[in-house]
Amino acid sequence: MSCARLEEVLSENPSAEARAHAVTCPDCGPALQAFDVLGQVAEPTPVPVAALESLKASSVAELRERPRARPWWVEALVLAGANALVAVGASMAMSWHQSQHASLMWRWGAAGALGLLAVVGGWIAVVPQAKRVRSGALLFTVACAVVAVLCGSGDAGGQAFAAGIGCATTECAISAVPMLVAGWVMTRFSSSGLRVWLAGASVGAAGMLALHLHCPNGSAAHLATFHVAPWLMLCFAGVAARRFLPTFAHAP
Amino acid sequence: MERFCAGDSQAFDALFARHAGAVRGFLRRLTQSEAAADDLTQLTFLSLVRARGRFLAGARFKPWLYAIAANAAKDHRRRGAHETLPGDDALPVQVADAAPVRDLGLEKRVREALEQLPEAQREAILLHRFQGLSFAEIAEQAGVTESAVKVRAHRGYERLRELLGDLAGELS
Repeated sequence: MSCARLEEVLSENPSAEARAHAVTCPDCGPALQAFDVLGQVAEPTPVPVAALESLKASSVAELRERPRARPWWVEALVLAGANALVAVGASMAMSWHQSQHASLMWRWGAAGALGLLAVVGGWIAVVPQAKRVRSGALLFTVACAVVAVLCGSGDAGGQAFAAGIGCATTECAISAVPMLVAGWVMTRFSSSGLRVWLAGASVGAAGMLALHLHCPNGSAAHLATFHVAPWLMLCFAGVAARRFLPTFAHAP
Repeated sequence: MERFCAGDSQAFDALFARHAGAVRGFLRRLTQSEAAADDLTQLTFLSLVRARGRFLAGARFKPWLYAIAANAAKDHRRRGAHETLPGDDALPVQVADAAPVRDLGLEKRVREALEQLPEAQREAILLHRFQGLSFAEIAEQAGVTESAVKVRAHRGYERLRELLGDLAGELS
């Protein structure tokens, strides 16, 4: 922890009393000395107004081309909507198997959590200046992963590995389209690992929801390896891929 | 800002006139390059125009603008465009008559010391010392708590004190 008077001491004109405090304070003393040294450095040579004006040409052209600001929720709606469409569409399109969940409560409880993550998580990934909410949502993704493993009945059925590969492939295939949408949406923002991770988690949750409702294998090992692990890999892949994508606007 | 969001180019001109020089100075210090500072200033204001719909009503403008500038600089650095510190020969040797006398040796030492700080500490110190942002504003800009910014600034200044010890001694 730093001294509570640090900001008062490190002001342009600290009071004599604040300076006296700095002499004895082990936090403020060294900081004030460094602060004073930096004050001796001259401002960078000012750039002529004409040169500075030349830097705004692209901004003025952009403003002329798009005079109306696009509200932030348009992109949030695009991502959450794509996730919802894919989750519902894939769930309806796949054939229904006998339930392999510990109970109906687990079945629909986990489905509700994954659905919530797909839609609300996608929305939260885009909301501006909501880092704490995104951090909270990140904890929710961990809870969803745990629930997705614990909800199985424990009945593995036959051909565990081949069926598992099928599950992982299906999950990735279902997530492909919203992943592209998320990739596009994420390029609209400055690159942020937390935001991209949450967007990837919401996309993966849409694919995992469809699997969750249809997979006939209820063993925890199968669920962890072929449902949750590919989901996490999608998140990592999203974060890694974002580093190579261009950025449309560096705003947070 | 409201007029700017509605597409008023005069409002943008006013924002640019008020902040462009300071933003460029911040980017100049952050990147140690005149050319990069120009490019990033351009990119910062282009991002401002493109993302103005994301500015929340009632929020403070200055921290948001510096957040954009800092993000642009981070992206620039991550993509490998960061230039190494220029040597003595790259320092300006001719200064206009009207300009204040510059202590180039001091500037170089301070620049090198700042360069040794972790990015988050350097950013906090540049915004606090040179751009005049309060710790609360820097916290808003970085998306962290005010106490986290105080710790960053404190550690940064303490490290600078170690690196510039003799200069600090001369001044005190």
